[in-house]
Amino acid sequence: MTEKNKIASLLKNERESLGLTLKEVSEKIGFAHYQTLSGIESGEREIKAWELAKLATIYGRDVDFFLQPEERKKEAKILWRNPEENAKKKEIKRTFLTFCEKYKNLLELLEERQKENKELFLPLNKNNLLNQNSFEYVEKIASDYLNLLQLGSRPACSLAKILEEKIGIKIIHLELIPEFSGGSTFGEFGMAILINSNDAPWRRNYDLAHEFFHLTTWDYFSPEEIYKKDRQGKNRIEQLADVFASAFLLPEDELRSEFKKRVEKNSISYLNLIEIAREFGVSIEALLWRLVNLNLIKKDTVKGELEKRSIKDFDKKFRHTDWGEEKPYLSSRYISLAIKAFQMGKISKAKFAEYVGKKFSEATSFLKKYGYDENEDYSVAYNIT
Amino acid sequence: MTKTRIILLPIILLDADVIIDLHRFNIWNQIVTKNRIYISSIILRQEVYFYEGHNAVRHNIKLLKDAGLKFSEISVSVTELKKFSLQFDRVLEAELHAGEKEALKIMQDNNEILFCTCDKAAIKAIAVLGKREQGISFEKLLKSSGITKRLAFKHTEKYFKKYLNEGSIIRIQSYSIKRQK
Repeated sequence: MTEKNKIASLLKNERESLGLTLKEVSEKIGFAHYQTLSGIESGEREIKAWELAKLATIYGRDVDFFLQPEERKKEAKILWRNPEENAKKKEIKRTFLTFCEKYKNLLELLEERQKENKELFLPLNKNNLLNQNSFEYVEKIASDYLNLLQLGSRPACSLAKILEEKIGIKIIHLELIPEFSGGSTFGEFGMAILINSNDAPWRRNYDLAHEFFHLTTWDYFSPEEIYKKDRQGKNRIEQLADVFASAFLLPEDELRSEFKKRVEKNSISYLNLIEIAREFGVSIEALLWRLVNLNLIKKDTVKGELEKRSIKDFDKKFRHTDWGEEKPYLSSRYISLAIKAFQMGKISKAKFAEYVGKKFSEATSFLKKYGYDENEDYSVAYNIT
Repeated sequence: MTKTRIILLPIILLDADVIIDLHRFNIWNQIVTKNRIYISSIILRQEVYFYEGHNAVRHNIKLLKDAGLKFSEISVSVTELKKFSLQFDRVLEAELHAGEKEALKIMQDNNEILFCTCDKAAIKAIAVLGKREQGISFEKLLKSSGITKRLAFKHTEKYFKKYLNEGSIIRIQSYSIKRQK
């Protein structure tokens, strides 16, 4: 197969895999007739570099994906909450995996060792994960991880940073539609977690802890086991991930202590509960269920309160300022690596824009937002003693 | 009979950053009048849309309407781009965007073309290709067009030379150009 035909065939595959028609793509690229694209895909027409660049953007790929198909790696599997495949999910998957690859590239360009400390992963017992006492076992695992990672009394505050910098898990925040809360993957680029930046901060913390559980148990379960549902239609592994997240973000001793402090005349007010949830960086529902789990509140009470929604409404009002001014984008570590690579001349500005998923024209203001002024001379350095 | 002397204007290929800054400084028209300007297709069609002024106000740059009038569009085929990319080793190749690769390929094939960029990685690549004499700084472009302006460090000749030198070192060390077999 000639070079031209190889690229032509790849282009056709990409378009078809995204479920796009010749007409749709032709309109996006600005071809007057779809026959132009058809000619490119059949290898009859020589493709210009700019046409490939535009098509690559439409298909969510780098140009190099088409220029060096022989270097393409097997696409990593993503563990979603829901295994169903659809076009939107395919698009998100592509974007997520592309950023994972770019993350790895940045580390390589900067000659920073991929700090993938898998030795920080505790050995687990699969039988214990699946037997009747698995919830207790998973709570114990969560507690062990809290100690191992030295996450302190408020794990949510430093969780993302520790997972990224201590274990080397790549965390990518993207604005996703509500049905996607997150996902995790393990590919040639290492471990990575996708988080929906449109979610509330406390929800993102929970998702991060939930996905972390999936990575810690990645080698223990097959996809079939993970998605298998019991007679009640519940998914055991997903339940375990939730138990883990809950115990991980709400350490028992700390939570009991904060709870006790706020109990008056054998009851605790909505406001105090919201305060605890805020302190630990979790949702009010997550807190209430954890309190049920620790036998501090009755299950029926929580069920009733959540059905009434009044506590949720209070929570929403009291915590609207906790959302912060801006949603997270990609990850601060990823962005600082990209800025460093650009500053060191390891990537061009146009490449930087590509790395951070922005248009070239937006790159200057994006850099400024992160405190980098292109007009400054950053080559000044201190002599060390 | 008087002899008519035809003075050929220099041919300058512009990188995206340069196009944006020429618009930002409102000297675009002066530059296109005093030089023969070329813009590579990827940069023209995919990279330059607007620049941001004070208070992040966006100013649109509608380059396509001037193509063929104020400047010439120039492009390469995918096969040429790939061949060019293979000249670099993996490390350097990853540094450049397809738009810059296209521009550099055009510069490499046309000795009379000068490539103007303020991008560290692109400046280094000019030297890596052994084409130092075909690189031109933003400052030099303005000077040769009769424009004087207070410039930021990235626009200066000093900055340009600094990264050309870095590129030359890479070239000398035979670090990035693959040996021709």
